[in-house]
Amino acid sequence: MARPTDPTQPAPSAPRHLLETIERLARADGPRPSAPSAGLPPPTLLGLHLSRAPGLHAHHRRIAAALLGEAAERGGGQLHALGADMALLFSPADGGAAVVATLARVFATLLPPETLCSLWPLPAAADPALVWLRCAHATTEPGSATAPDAQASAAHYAALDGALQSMSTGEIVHRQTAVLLRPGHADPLVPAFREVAIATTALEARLASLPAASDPFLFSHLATRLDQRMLAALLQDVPAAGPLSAGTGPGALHVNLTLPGALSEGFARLATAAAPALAAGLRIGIELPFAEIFADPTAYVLARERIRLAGMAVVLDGLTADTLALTAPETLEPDLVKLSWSASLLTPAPPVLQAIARLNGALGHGRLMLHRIDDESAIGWGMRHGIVMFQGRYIDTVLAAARLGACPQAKGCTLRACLDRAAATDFGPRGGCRNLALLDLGAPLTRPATPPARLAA
Amino acid sequence: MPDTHQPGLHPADPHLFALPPGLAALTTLVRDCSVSGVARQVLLLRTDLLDTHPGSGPGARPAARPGARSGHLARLRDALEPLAAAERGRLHELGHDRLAVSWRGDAPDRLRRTLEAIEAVLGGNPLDGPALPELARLFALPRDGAALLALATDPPGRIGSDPAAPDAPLPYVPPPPRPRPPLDPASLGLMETRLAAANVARFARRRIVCRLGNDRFTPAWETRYLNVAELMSELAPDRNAFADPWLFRRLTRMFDRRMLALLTTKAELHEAGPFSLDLNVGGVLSPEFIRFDATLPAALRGQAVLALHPADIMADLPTFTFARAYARARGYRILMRALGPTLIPLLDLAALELDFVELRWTPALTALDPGALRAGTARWLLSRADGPDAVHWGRSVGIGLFQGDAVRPGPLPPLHGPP
Repeated sequence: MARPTDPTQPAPSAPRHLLETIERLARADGPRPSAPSAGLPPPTLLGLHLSRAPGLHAHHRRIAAALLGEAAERGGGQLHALGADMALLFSPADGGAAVVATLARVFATLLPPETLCSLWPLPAAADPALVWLRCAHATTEPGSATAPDAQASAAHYAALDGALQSMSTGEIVHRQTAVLLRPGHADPLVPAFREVAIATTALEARLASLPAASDPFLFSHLATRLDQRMLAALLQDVPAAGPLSAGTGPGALHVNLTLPGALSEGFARLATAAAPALAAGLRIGIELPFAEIFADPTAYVLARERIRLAGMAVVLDGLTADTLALTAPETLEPDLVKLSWSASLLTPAPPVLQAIARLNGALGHGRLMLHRIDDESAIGWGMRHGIVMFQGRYIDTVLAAARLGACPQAKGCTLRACLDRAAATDFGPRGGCRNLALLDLGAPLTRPATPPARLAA
Repeated sequence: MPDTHQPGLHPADPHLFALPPGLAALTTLVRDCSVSGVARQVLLLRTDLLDTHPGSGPGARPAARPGARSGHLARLRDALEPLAAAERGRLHELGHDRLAVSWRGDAPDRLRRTLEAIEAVLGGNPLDGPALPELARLFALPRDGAALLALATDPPGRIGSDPAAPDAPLPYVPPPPRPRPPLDPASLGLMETRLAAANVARFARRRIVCRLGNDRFTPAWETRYLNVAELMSELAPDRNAFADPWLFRRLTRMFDRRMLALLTTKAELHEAGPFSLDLNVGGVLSPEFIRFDATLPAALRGQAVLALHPADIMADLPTFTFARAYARARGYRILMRALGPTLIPLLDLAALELDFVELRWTPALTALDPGALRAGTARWLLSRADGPDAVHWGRSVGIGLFQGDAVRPGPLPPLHGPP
């Protein structure tokens, strides 16, 4: 059987040929998978079940193909791609134990070894091998496992620029209300702050047809540029208590910026424009992306001090369970830390719990909050871990339902419409609401709540 | 990002001779940073506002009594000391009771101590003038050069009279040269096309890493890298490739591909010794790396180090974990690049399961708790060890690997200065 000529490319697969070879081996009347020679180890079929792995990327398949390609080279065999899965018919001296051990180590975070791959010594295990081969994805995709990552060209970049410029500020800037949960109070759920941010989802949807939009570096570049448009809009809205401002809402405004955005002249202008509102009691927090700090810690330190000099609070945004387990965000001296909710937090690893305890101890109670909450399981988990501030689509829905229940002008309004209007910052979607005061307040309350700790400072 | 140019005071512009020396130095610094793209931070202290400005905004103080600043200037100058002592730190006396301090890199503790000291000086007298945000402004060069010079030379008339020289105009300061425009998406695409076709072999460089033992440096490995500054100045002389960090990071993927392709040619590694490569995490999982790995000479298997940037690692931890497992399975060792004093306490280095951690020398490291360097089993490499102070400090905290101008195989040169 021919050896692959390129270790990154499994051979164009021939499942029919593979099936026939193993069927002949099962009948013990076919040729060996390699040229027969005295002392050649018995043939083995290795099945790699990558299709069972959640979140499979092209690089997983590429690395698997490389590792199996080398095993094929050593064991005189050939690699076949079966959709996301791979089959290697070879004659390894150790029965395949070494390559299986390597695969188990490399793919340990994706699948447990017993789920990841199977070894079928032939002809003894020909029957289960044939069953798997016949059940495996019949459609082969030659080369698909090792397709190079899509490369965007200059034309794509130009298209991105054009798409971006054609979008209105209202289209790209959204707002969302975070809440404080106070069990036992007369108002157990009160707005804590209003966040304005680039509507990443809307932007991704708009740019999805462009290959370059999937590039995280390019996307971050776009976000940095969009910051300036958001800051310009805030410059008008904050002093005038416009729809972006919290002047009519919870009394606290969070602005989501990149580090370059926080260090820009646009931010300096916002700080100047917002000074009277800050003096009058408006609280402003600047949310900075946690991941960006590792690219330029000096910029973070400068941005933090600049934000503090402006009388605003520093918020770390975008921590995940993974990053929390490996970091000590309290050393960055933020005023608030936002942890992204994920189901993995329901069974947190000990380092995550230790990090939460450390954060609560160093920053004080209520300075860690959960966002990107999609269901109520996050609320119970958060309360058990001393978290009282929450944000996300689940909270949006709860608030919209409360508004609909309390609004005398809600006749004919739907929950979806109320959700969309609350998130919108431009006149179009908001214009459909007949009770903008309640919409901007976020929840039907008589008074806004005061968030805990130094956010009020 | 490579730091290829060190700004210095060379006031070739005749205008600069007419300026107070501190303002001339600051102007030169702004100009040099604009031209070279080298980054510096500047804290400007407008002490002249103390007498005259009523203040506004949160925390504003009542209007100051006349002469308030005269009692404070010396104390404020002292307050700037922590930053003046930072890496390449320099105090600039700008005249008209204005002070500025410039420094390089990551000095969070010094910045905080300085701001606290300024606040303490101002807070000591309830009749002092404006709030801290109005007196002290932070600038990042080269981006904020024009704004810094504008505020540093703001005419006294705008801010009130100067009792010592009521009508003294500030001297003319020539504006900094227009910085080269940053990359934009269209120019990035063009540069990628040029880079794909360029002969990068002449930009390939090596830099030695030495092991320190028995007061001798012995070679440990060579860092193989592309001189990106030279490459960019040839491919796009009219653009500042480093000004937009995200587009530059996108460009580094192309550097990875070209460097790996270069090393895949047989001649490059035929007689090479142990080496390290700077790569993106995605580069380790790329087809180019797989080809490079397939052609790696057997003698070098287990002798190569892959150097990854913390931003790349933290941006996608699952992908890093996978890349680390794959690299280890192929016999590579993993180094985390370019850590500074802010990131060391932030990261749980033991949990990241690294083989080496590169610490970039800055005097701010001397304030670091040496205990932080004992976390985990990774070995530490002190880079940018360009002088004996860096080597001395590294040795005192038990670092065993060094790289920099002061690092050459052979006996350790005599070390001077405080530990």
